[in-house]
Amino acid sequence: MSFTDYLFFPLFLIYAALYHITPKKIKWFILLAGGIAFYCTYGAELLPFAIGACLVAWVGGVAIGKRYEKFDAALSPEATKEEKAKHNAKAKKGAKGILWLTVALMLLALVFVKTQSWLVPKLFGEGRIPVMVPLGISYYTMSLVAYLADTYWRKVKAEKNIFKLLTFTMFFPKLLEGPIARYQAFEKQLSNPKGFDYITFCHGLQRMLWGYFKKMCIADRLSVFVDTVYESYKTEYGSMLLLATIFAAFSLYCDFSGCIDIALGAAEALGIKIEENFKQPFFSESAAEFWRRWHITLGTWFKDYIYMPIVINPRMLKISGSIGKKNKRVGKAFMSVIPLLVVWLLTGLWHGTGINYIIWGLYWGILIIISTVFAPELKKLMLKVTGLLKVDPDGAGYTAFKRLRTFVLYLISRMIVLSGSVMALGVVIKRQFVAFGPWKLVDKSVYGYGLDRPNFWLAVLLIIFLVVVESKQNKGVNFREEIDKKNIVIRWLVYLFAIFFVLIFGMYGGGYDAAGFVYMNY
Amino acid sequence: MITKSKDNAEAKDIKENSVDIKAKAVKQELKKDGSSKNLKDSKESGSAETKVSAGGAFLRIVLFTSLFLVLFFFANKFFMPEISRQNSYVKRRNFYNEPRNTIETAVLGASIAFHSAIPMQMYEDYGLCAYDFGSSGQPVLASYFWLREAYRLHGESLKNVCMDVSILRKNEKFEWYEAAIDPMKLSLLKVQAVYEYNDDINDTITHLFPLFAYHSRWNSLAAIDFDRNGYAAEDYLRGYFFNTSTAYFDNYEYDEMEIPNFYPDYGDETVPFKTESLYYMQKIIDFCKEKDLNLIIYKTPGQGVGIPAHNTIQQLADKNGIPFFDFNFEPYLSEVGYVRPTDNVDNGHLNFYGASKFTDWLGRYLVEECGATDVRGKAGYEHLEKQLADYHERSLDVMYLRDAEDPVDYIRKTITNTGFSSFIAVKGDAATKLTKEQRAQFKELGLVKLAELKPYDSYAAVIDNGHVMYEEIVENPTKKEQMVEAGLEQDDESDYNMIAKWADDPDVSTIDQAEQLTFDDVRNAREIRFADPEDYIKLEGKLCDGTVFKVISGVSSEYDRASVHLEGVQSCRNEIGINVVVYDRVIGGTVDRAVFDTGEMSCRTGYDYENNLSEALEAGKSFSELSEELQKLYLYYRRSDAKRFIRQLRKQVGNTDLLTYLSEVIKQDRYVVFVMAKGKIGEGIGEKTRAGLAELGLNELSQIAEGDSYIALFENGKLIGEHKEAKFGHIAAAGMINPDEGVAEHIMYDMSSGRPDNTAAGSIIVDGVEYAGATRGLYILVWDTVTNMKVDIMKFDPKKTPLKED
Repeated sequence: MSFTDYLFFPLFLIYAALYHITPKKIKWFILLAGGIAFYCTYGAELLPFAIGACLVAWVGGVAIGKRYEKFDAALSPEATKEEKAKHNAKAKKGAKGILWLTVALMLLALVFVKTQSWLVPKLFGEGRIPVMVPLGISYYTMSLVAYLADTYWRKVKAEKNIFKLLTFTMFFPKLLEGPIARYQAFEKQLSNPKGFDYITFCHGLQRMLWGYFKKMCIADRLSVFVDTVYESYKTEYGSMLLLATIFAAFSLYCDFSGCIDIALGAAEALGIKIEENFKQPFFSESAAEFWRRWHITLGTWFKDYIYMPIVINPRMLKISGSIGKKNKRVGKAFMSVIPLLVVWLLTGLWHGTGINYIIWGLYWGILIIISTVFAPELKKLMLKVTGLLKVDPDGAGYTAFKRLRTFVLYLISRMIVLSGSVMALGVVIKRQFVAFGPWKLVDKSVYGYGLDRPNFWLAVLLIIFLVVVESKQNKGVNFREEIDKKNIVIRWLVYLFAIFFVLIFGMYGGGYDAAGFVYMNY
Repeated sequence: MITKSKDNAEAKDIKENSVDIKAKAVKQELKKDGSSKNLKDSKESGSAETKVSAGGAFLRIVLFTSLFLVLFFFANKFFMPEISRQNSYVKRRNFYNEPRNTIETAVLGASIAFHSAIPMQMYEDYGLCAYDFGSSGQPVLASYFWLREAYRLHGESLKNVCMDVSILRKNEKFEWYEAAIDPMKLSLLKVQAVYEYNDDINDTITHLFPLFAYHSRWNSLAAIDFDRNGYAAEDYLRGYFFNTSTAYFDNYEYDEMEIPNFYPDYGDETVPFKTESLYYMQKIIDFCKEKDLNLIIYKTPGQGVGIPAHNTIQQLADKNGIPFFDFNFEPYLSEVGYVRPTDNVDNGHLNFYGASKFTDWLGRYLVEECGATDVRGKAGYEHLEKQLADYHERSLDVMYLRDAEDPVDYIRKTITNTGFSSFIAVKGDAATKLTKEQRAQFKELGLVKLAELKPYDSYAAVIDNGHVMYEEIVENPTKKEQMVEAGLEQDDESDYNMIAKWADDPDVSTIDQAEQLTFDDVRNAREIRFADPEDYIKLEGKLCDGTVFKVISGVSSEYDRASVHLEGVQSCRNEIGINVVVYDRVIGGTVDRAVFDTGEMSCRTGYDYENNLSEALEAGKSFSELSEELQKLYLYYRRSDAKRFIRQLRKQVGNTDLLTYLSEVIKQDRYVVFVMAKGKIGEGIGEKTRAGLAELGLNELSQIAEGDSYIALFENGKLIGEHKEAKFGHIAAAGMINPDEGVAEHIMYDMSSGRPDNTAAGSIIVDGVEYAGATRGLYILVWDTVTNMKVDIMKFDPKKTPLKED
């Protein structure tokens, strides 16, 4: 059941009511049951995947925890520092084995699911095994791997109660498109759930409404245009392709962050807080900052579980040290380039298994590597240019420039993915120069790509509206609270207006194919 | 150097960090200020709440949800589809106003169904209480569910179900399902119906609520969408669509008209129907059996479903023991008294005249065979009397319209009936024959400018809701100039004077002589004089019910036209004179189109044309003496007869009975028959056949041998000539046929058989077109000299299939 199915919202309201009247001690059960029920709407036969992964993680966590417990118990209080270190290292070594085994199992399942479309025919011949995509496998696998790693690093206590871990894995708001939640934060809320608070509940629903607005009014509307243009990319003028890419940028953002808003809003309505995944990313001033504001939980996951482990890996330190002896800067660079390359290659692969995704990952990777490794040179360049142009590097103008620059970088990354293949990408880029045709933008042909005149301009208007709202949010304005300050009549008018706005201007029902959530097949 | 830059870098780092820290501090201060501001605000306005009690929460939730539901209810109303669908919608909605358990007969089916049965006539003639549930392209699924709905509300009285089965052959569009099921009131049955045509929960919910289904209309909402009550729906038609236009008079040119297929033969083939259609058809049959309802399935006369489909339906009917009446076949065709050109709107739908005949038959059948009840005077059925009165006033009024021969009378009727809106557009000279009295009467009616109409003025008017809404007249300046030039002033004294002045005949100086001029003379004289200015009138706007109209009247030799567009559809007759189009806002359709050109003989309906033609022919008029329109009708009949004749003949003759074929085609009135041999055809022609051929006068053909060339020509029953040559010797005949009457003055032909090099060949070319095929055979081309069209091209191949000998 997708978030945009008619029945989801009413059913969710009933579910939330049920959750809130349930006594605290059993609330977790309602969450688990809800998660399983939600999962089953996608096919009960896929349930074993998720439960299986959770089981593996649980067994691994318990095993690691038990090992540490045993070794901790065996440690005598008078041991010396060296003895302690040796002892702990031994404990860790065994635990590492468990960690690798369980993580490998889960990752194997993930890799299999991601590559089955070409792997299965190779192994079993055409049409033998139906392709199965367990809901949320990318997201819950990451969460569980994080959990296991954290138990290994003793950042979190191993969870002995399988049901608690299962509830976490199957918590339905985050199943569809994330965020990639961490167990610690969730566990606290599980053990001590909050009581019903009307205002929090309303805030949650309002956030869901905002998410529906972004997804159904903006994202789904823009994607009609984008898809139509890119379908005939070979013959479209560069300007049209560019416009479509710009629309695609907002479309993906609204689609993904809209879904996140619905997820977080639903959780909030249940009194549960999960991690934010977006923070007005289009106001980033650099590529690096962009990835701290876009798909935040993915970034932090890769940072905590890929980047850091590589960086602090003793072998890495040794190699970089030996390089550093010859050239300090290169040595330092080595310490960022290698892990960054790995991170970005994997990030690309996580998004998709085509060449385009690898290019995409490397694209961002190289951008960030350059900005890190050559940071001092870039800064010098920046100062020189701003000095020459007499622009204040801290002023609003330059900030706007940086934001625009970052947006353009993001546009290019969208182009890479949208094109679908290297050939297509080449064509799209070439047509920017060879056949730009700016007149196409003003000769009314923009109304011929699936959006008639009113719809086209509505889309543009809504983008502007979104940017204005987000710019305020970027400065710290919390709209829900602002509206709260008004009296009840105005508040309710606003909410009712918003609801009917979505119902009237959303792209759904009769004739419109509500675009499937873009990030759902992960 | 390096250290320095490092220092710099570090210094910069520190600086940045300190900036960061500063920023953080500032932010925190802001937050502090912000939050303190919050408190201040809440203290001042007391509006930002922090805690709501459980009871308060519950109350608010209930209130908010109620508000939402109320708005939702209204939003659904606003987004309902446009006026053009309102027609179907409104008709169905009226059904819910019927008193419960009164309807005894239900009629189901697609648009053909709701053009066929007239419930009000059934009541008037037989006292039956019937209702028409048809909708455009109604899929069988929808028919089934409307039957169930009818039963739900009229289960106690419902006894008879009549269904037109035209839809069984078709592949329904999704919109037809929507249009059919949308008007149903929300109920469990409707949910089931919507689910069954959607098969998906989301689509079902979409189509249960107009807001969800049609919200994308937001960019085309019009005032009419917010004014549902402005469109008064009358219920006296009981689902029937009243339409008096005639196919062969109003809608098509005779030479565009499709000649029906004629089914003298039955055959055995069947054709598979869509599974879904059969499934729901069976459900209808089973439901009727279960509830003990009489089910009759029928096909209206005029457009058959084709023999295979007919057979399939017949089998279905026989298997289930239900009667199937296909009115394209005897005896039903004659029993109904259907006349093809005048009883149809177009190729498939009956018009009022046809429906009237059909309803008569159906009503009688229901009374005699199904024991249908006469409810006149019974308690609970009083509403039908009122509906009958309305029916007369509204629908049959149109019939009275058609009786009007005088434009004043006609237009007056359209004004007094306030449900009508009428549009007047002038073409050509509509003024010369207007009498002073007529002009005065026009003035009285409010058509002031029409009263002043001069020859070749453009004129357009719109009458809506009983008064003249727009009226525009444009004098033709060029004509004015030329009038002055010719020394003619405007003279209102006498119409006849004007005729005299305009004629080119210099001898015309007395009124008597002027009277002798025919209108044609006068008209032709004028047409020579005038150039083509572009003074034309275009009136565009909306009627009081929101219907968009456009009226054009342009009078000049090149652009002379009158047109009336309603919702984009042109329906003006565009003939010389005063054109009037009458639109009934209640029904939402054009009900009559008239032209008043008092010079011509009155021809107001298709029946008039029929009558005029038969009168003319009886009076002995030849083809060329008929008017253009009558000629077209005449040609149509010839084509129709030819098709029927050939179809029957072919069936009879197969590909073996050469003698019968030849003797029949030769006999036909004003046909020319070409015979040509191509290749070896001598073998396979038996003795008896040869003898028969000799009797027909075809001596050469009776002696034809393998390898002979052969050509022959018959004209109007007489053998003009025949030639035979051995060893494919080349023979040819070319010439010209001059029909006494008909479309063409000359018909050129060129026949040949064999070749100079003695190889097999043959061709029959008429007016430059080759009719013989490429393969071997004895070719016979039958040509109608009146229509100047091929009637048939037949080929016998005796070598392959020996000819019949008995």
